[in-house]
Amino acid sequence: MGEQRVAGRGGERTVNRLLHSRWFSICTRILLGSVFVYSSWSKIADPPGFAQVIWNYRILPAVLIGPAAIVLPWLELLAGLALLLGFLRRGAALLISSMLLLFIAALTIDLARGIPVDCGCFSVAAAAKTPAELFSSMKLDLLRDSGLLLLSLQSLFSRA
Amino acid sequence: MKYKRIFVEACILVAAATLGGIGANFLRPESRKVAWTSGFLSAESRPRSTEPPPDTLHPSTDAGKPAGSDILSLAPPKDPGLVFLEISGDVALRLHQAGALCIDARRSGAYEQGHIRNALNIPVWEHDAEIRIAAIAGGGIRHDAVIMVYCSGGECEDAALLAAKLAQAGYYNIYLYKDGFAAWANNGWPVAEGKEP
Repeated sequence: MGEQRVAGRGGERTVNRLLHSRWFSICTRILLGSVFVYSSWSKIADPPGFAQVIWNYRILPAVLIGPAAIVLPWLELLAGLALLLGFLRRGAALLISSMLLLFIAALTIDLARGIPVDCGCFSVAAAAKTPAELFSSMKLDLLRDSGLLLLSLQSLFSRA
Repeated sequence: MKYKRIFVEACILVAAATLGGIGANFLRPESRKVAWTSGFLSAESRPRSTEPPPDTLHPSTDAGKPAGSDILSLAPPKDPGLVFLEISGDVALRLHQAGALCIDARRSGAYEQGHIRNALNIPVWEHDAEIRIAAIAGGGIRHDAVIMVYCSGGECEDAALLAAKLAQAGYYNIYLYKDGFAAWANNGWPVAEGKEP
């Protein structure tokens, strides 16, 4: 029993060491930063298209759609760049975690309400998908965003 | 870990993003601008309408008169309390042939690729939508004019949003062609391409 406790603590220390290792943190930041820089691009290129995507979620109050369509893509870009380049990185990780929580909440709400929406995560062009395909995509998007959230929390709380 | 410092870093990024977004929006061409306060409708105030039951659709005995005359007799009766009335199929074609003002609510790029012949374009998501609506009123289109709005059909709500904006501008004979441009084109009805109606 005592040996199992020592082995358990050993495993815990390994995971702890990994989560706080400099190289793991760098890889996490590069992955997360790249995803957000890439996803911001189509939204910065076409703000009216992104405004339409936000509208289709049927969640945000009307008065906030314009400001969100204008500011959010730039927030994604700058937070992504901050993570990639290593400046203001914990602030960037906090913002990215917040945005991911927002996206997860929005997708969950619309899944619960039975409203099929195109995520608009990486493209604001209208996708020719059936409602069933949209619901399936929404669930995959939820899984993806949850994984990204874990990475962003690692970036935020890592001691590296 | 210094939480205050993290919060300050986040605020710096938010401020930079706000400036960057506003600046970029200011410099964009009209078709790529978003109005800061665009008058988007809230989810609760989305316009609703009902399609009349089939036996209230009545072909006018005056069908075939010159465009612009007695056009209302070709249109289904519309409850004044509704922002718009949904129409589909041949009713839309009859209104078009009788000279109803057709307005395409889709993005300007989609309009240029193909639109209902003689339809104007008011891309409801682009910055100058309000300006274009004002131009219609300024161009002498009376508030009792019969207007048919459309978009892509299916789940598209852009035409409904445009109808609500037109209603806010004082127009009250608005019909929404719910089948959309794709169905119109598939039927072989009159279409045009390019920036001009």
